[in-house]
Amino acid sequence: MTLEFTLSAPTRSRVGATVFLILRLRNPSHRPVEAHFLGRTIVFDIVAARADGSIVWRRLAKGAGPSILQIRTLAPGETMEWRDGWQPREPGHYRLQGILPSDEPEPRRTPWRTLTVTP
Amino acid sequence: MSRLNPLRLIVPAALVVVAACQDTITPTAPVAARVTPSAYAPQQVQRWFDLMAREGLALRGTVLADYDETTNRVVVGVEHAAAAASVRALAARLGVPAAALVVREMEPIRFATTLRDRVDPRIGGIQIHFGNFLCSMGFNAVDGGQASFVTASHCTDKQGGVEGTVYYQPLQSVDGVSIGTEVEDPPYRRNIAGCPHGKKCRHSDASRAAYNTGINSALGQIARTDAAGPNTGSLVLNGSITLSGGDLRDHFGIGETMNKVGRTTGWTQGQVTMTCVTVNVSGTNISQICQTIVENSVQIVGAGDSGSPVYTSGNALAGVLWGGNSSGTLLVFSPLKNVEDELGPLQVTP
Repeated sequence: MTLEFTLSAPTRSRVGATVFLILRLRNPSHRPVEAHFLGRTIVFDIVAARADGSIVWRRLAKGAGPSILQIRTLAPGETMEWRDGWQPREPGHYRLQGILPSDEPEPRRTPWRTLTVTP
Repeated sequence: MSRLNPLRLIVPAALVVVAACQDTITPTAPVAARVTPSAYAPQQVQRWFDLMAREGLALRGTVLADYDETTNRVVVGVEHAAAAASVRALAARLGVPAAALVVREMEPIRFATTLRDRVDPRIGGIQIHFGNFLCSMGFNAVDGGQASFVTASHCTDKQGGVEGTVYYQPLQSVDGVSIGTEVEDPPYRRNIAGCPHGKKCRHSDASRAAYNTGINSALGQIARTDAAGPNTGSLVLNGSITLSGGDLRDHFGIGETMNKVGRTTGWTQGQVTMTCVTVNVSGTNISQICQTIVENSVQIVGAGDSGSPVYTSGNALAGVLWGGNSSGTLLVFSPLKNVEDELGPLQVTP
C-alpha cells in the first residue's frame, strides 16, 4: 500500500526570510497502513539544493541519533506532519526535498519542489 | 535449473520457492539433461503434468512438479523414497506412463530465516520488539547467575530507569510469548564528571533484560549472515559467530576495524575514526560520555540497529551500538567496558 509523502513549500521567497516547510505523510487508502520510522521522536530530513544538484542546506547535516525503529499504523485518511524552516542566504533557484529515513535501504522521499529566492 | 520452465514449475502451497531458478535446489539424483526425449506427444505430456501437479503435489513429501521440455517428461521432486513411491503409484492410477515420469529426490524448499525472524536459541544481532519499537538484541550475558541479554538503554520503555520493559522476538504478533523483561537501566544524571552543562549523561546507552523461564539463549553467540563479506545488506541468517571474549578497552585504535550485526543492515563493518568522545544525542538533552565512532563510505547502520553487538576483527565483543548519522555511514557504540562499569560485571562467553 502506497502512502503519499509530500513537501509543502512556497515557490518564491527572499534572502533572509524563513521558508516554512511542511512534510506530510498521508494514507489515501481505505485500509490502515503500517509505516516504519527512525527514532522515538520521528526523524525527518529536508535538503535544499541548487539547480546543479549541490546541496546548500541539510536539516540533519550533523549529529548522531538513536537507531531505534518506530512502527506506526496510519488510519485511513490519516496524515502525519512535520515542520521546519530554512533561511536562504543567497538568491537563486533552489530545489527542496523531504526525506523520512526508515529500515528500507532507501529512505522515503518527497518529489522535489522548486523555490526561487530573490534579493 | 534454467531448463525448467518457470511457468510450469509448481510447488506445494505449504512451501515457498526461494530463487527457484537458481541453484538452491540440490538434486540427489543425476540431472536428466542427457536423457533422450520421451516418445509421447508434448501436448499429452503437458496434460499428464497438469494431472500430476494437481494430484501429486497434494501428497506428503512432494516438493515440486515440472514439465521438462528438454526431456519431454513430467518431473516430480520429492523429499524421500516413501514420497517417491506414492508419486509413482499415483501416476499409475492416473494413467501416466512410467517412461514419461521422472521422480527425483531433493531437499525441501523453505523460507530463508533472517535476522527479523524468530530465532531459537536467542543470539546477538536478531530483532527484538517492545511497545511500538524494534531494536536489535546486543549480546547474551549472565549477571549474578541470571540469564540475560543486553541492548540499548533507549530500547526500553524509557531511556534510563527500570520500567520492566517486556520484550518479544521477533514481534509480539509472531510469537506472543515474551522472551524477557528489563531489569537494569541506570538513570541518566547531571553533574557527573565529563557531562556537558545542561545535559544528562551516562557512559553507556545500555540496559539489561532477564530472560523469562523457558526461553533458550546461546551465550557467546552472535548472528552470522550468509554474506561472504560485510556491508552487503544481507539479513539471511547462516549460523552464528562465537565470541572470543569481551574486549574491555574504552579507547580503540584509530583505523581499527569494527563489525556489527543488526536486524536492519545485517553484518556491517567500518573503521574507528574517533574514540572516547562525548556525543550529544540528536533531538535529546542526553550526552553519552566516552563513546566510539565508526565510519565507512557505505551504509553501516539503519533504523532498528540500536542495541546491535559491536565486535572486533578477532570476534571479541567490543560494545553496544546505539546510534548513527542520518545517512547511515557513521555509527556510535558504547564500549563494553562502560557497559560493565554501569551494569556490573557480565559473563559474555561460556
